Amino acid sequence: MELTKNQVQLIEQDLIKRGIHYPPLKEDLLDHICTEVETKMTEGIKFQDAHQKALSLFLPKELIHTHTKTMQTLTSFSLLKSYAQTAYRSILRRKTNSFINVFGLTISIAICILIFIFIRYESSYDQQHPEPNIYRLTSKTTSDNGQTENTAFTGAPWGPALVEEFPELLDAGRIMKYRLDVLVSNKSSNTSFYESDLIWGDQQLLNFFKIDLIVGDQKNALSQPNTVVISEEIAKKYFGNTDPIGKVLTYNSEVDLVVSGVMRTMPEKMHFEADLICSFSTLKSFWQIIDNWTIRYYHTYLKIQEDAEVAKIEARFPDFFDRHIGNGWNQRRSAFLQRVTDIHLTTGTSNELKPGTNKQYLYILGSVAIIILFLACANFINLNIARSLKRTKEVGIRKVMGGLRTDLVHQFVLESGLMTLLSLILSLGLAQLLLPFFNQLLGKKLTIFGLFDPLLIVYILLIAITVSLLAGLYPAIKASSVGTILALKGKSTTKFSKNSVGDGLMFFQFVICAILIISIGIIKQQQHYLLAKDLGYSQEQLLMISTNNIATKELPLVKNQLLSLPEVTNVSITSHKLAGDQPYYSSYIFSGSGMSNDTLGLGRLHIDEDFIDTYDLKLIAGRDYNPLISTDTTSFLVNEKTLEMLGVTPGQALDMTIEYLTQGENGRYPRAGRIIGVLANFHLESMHQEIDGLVMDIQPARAHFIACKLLDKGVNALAISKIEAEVSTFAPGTAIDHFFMEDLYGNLYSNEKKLDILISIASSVAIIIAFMGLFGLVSQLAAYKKSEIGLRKVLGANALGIVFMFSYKYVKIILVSLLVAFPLGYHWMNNWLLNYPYRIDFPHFTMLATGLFLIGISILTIGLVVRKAANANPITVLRED
Amino acid sequence: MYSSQLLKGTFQTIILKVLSEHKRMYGYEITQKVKALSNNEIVVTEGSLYPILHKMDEMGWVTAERVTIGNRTRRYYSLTRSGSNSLKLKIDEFERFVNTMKDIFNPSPA
Repeated sequence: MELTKNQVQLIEQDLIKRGIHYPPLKEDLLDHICTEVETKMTEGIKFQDAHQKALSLFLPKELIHTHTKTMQTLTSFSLLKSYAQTAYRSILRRKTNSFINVFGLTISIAICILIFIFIRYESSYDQQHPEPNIYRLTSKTTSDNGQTENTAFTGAPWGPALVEEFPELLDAGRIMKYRLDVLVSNKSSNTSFYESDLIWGDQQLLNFFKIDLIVGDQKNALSQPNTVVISEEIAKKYFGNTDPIGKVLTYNSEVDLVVSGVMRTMPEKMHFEADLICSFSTLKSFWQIIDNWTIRYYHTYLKIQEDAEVAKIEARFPDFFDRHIGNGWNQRRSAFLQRVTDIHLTTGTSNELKPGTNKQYLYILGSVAIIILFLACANFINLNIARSLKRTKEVGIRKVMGGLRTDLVHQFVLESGLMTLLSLILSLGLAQLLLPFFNQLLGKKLTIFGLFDPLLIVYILLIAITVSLLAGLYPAIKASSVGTILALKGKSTTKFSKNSVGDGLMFFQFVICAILIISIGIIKQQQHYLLAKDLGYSQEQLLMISTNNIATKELPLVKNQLLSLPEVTNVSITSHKLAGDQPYYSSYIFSGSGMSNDTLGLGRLHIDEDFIDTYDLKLIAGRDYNPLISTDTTSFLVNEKTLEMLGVTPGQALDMTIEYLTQGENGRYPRAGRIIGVLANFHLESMHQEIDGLVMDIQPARAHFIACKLLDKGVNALAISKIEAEVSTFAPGTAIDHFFMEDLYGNLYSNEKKLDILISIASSVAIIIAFMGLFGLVSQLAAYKKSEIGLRKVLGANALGIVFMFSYKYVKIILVSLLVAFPLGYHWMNNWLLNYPYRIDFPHFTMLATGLFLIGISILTIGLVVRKAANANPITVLRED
Repeated sequence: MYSSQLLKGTFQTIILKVLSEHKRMYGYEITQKVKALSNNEIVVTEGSLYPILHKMDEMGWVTAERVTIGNRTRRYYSLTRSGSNSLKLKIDEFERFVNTMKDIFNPSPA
């Protein structure tokens, strides 16, 4: 006669009550007693009596004594092994729960690992340099309206003079990098290329920074004029496999440089990069402005005495500049020192040699990682609480608390430990799998070696231990601390629905989900707005070509040749690209009859007669350039914003003249002319910058970009090849550098795109994890309330009604969490939007949509679970109970 | 029935011996087998049996195998190679012990 499941369970619970919890022994004794009972029952004794009889074969306390004796024979290792086995079996048995926990944890730990590697990478820039105490001199300008602008640019004579006068400043090194690509050639083999990573630098750079020479004298390679240190790639490119040392490279067809060293490719984690470093002292021979104290175009690095106080040094700067520059230089400008190691994570400094990373961005990523980890943990804890409460009822009614506590604690902690360990291993694999996508997304070259970071290992272990303990210990202790009397009275039933910690965790999950959804909605809308906003000019079909070393006097000829192509409708030559470029700045004196002179610092753009037509700009007053009017070569166009700053009407503006100092072929000279036209505002820099006042005139010496308006998309390829052929006749032997404006413009917002993609992924993961948690919890609740559902059905409730009975509580939690999420989301996202001078109005419907979305998905999830329970035949369910 | 005092040191040998004659046995089966073999003279109680079994498991003399029987799990024990080696030693030792005891009780005339 075989015992039923319930009878076996009864005997097992009795054993637990008697303190038998070592699983193998429990199995032995259970089987033993069951066999005994079965034997008795075949003799016709009822189960209850047979059970009593079987137990009476044991002396009082003999069972617990057996347990104690068995435990004494065991080593702690086999004890642990046996618990792990039980946990493993339990994990396999409860598939849904285990899957939810392991899945959530795996994803969240993998995300944490990736983000950790990224943050570590970004915060370890410039750590490897041989000199630890290097600072960069940075200067600050305060404009009329009180805005300050930091720039990495300093004057060329500043560094050496500072070292001479300040005993704490031990040495100075400078860098100059021209803003456009420069021509480098090897005359003997007739090879030339445009190089984007050529800098001019003092010998000190080789002393300060991690720039290792493979060949050449590390201490002297750049100390003489007309020398250059090149990377291995450059050596290959210009000299093939021959020894480059002593060979000559020519800069811009005029300056010869002798190769004095070959350097290893510079480390990626540095705030500047270079393939060629030409000695700074060479500049003296052709760069006339090198001695000018006020022109800021150079980067200065200072080696500072170890015990010197930076603030004290900075305090003496005003006096220094007063003596050397005077003229109230200090009124608007100041200089300060910045640790080289801080450069990469400091944003808001213009003219950096390499774009930095916004610290804010790292904080956001870090928070996202923690939030996702928290969500996964919350599921873990919640599901375990639900489980433990269920067991409290089972066992509690039989007044059995002693054995339960240790049993539950052991079991839960080991189970969650095992699951965490499993997730950890899976997440390492997942992280490795995701790394290529992550790299692509962030434009980095992170390697899996980041995984061996000792700090990461410590963090991962800490996370694993915390999660195991939180998810295991807390629910077990909570369950076992429910009083026997309460448990007897069935109070655990109410506890299940009034599980405040569980509800609290769920509440937080929904708050986080709601905020993430609101954020993603707003980021997407703002991004769409930026890309769709009218720029004030047309980028369509605009092909840009760098003029590079086409001689200035040949440009009109180039322009005519291009115009003669049938695929090209318009051509205009400018000093800047009209997307994401920073214009020059100059001081302009405006004068008009009947008004006092007004001086304004404004953006300066050099254009030609075809600018308005090619770019499809709107002229709101006056006229375009006319090649037939000879004075037009010194006439000006201004934008609407300039009028606003001047406080004049278009009519008045057309009566005004402008004067400023400009740099021509023969040095600086004043230029004056009339304003002939006013253009509607258009965006020259990215949408992150507000449109500034802008003055335009014709200056052939500053012609850097040729814009060709192409006729039709269908013939673009043909047009490009024809244009290349045409242009290369003017610049033989060099590759033609061309790009479409629309592509360039799209790239300006790559940061928003990255943020958008990252937050989208994070939110999706967060939402999936949260709803899986809800699914698991409701599943347990439904199983727990099987008989209640059955009863209600017998009493006439339909499936829909039962779904609503279950949803009610969770919808309530969601509503409360929305109340918290809305103001927080509004506050944060509104602040984020304020960073943009051009932005959407806060879209309130996003909030509403978020709320509806969350409630809808929850009811759907609950419906999915409860439908099954609600459709079960109530009679079978009730009989089982 | 022998006193437990007397039996205490022999349980291990008895259990090993019984196991050596079967492919695998579960706890209840062992107690019944010992009872039958000894004509009810030797009773291995649960309180002695299981701690010994688990200890021998720990020492690697026996291995346990879980089999689902009806609604519960049964643990079958079987002897390992090192278990049967130990059994030989134990039987040897016990036989020497019995002989020694005989010598003590029936001293041969000197």
